Amino acid sequence: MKECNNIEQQLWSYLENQLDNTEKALVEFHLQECKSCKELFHVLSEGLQQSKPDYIAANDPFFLTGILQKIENKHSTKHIQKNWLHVLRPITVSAFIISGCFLGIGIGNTISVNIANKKQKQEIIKKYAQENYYDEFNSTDVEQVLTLK
Amino acid sequence: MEDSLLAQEIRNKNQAVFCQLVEKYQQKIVHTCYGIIGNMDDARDIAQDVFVDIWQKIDSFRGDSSLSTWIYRIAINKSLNFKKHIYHQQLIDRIELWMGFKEDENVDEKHAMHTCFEVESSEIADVFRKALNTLPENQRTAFTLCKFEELSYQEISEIMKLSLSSIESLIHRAKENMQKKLKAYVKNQY
Repeated sequence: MKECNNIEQQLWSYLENQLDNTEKALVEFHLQECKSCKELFHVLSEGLQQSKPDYIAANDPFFLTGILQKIENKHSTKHIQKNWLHVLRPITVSAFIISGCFLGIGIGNTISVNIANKKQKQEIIKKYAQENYYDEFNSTDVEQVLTLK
Repeated sequence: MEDSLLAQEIRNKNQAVFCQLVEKYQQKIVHTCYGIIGNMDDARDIAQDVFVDIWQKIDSFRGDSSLSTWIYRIAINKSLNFKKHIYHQQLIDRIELWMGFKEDENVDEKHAMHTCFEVESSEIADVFRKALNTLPENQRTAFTLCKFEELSYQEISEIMKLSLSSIESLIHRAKENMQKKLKAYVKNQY
């Protein structure tokens, strides 16, 4: 088991041919003896080999045509986008400014109406208080009123 | 033609030279994208976008690094962005499915189309690819560039904008993790 661990640490180096002759011989000897290490090495080497991208698959005959088509498409969409931007930008900016102005005027009006309302209310309260001033000395006593009844 | 000359000619919008560049780098870029994305059709599509970007943004290439490094960097960034996009799309699909906006769509199956490497590949290749796919992003990128593209550590460090020691450590950890995952697979086999 301990030997397996030692060999496993050297598997990648063995695969990459970075071991000296003695180490290489030791690994090879162990791989002949140990089935699980042999299988692990097989999975590593075969997996790496088979996972390498297929050169034929990467060689698409229409690859270049696709690129040129994409460049052309991007160019035309960019052109359209630019034209749209020329029209849309000033419209959106002016719309924002105008709506901002209206919003500001609206908010200002509501605030001034509120203030005016408040002042009016205060004046009414004052007036009412002055008119209905409760004269404690001249008015008839509440208890007296009650006994008279 | 040298890379600096290629860049200069592409700057002048010389389409013939651009075609030469595509021919020179097509396979390498498709492989790099494939190593990260894991689906050949998507890899080809992203690789095409990489070349479109090269054509349109060649002015941003200052020549600090080599042209190949710059191209690889674009390819890696685009592939990683694509992976993120797929992940977000999958997340949105799941939420929509959960909220009942979508019906009869197998999100996992759709996701598997993007993460599972070529269907026709053998079981070992499939297991290897799945193990590679579970690696952290930077480990996977470094491993792909090292093992599939056979680039030197120096070149990988320039592409990934990391120090040489960081690249060494990333690749070492990627190998360790791969071995652990494949060991678990071998154990399950017996």
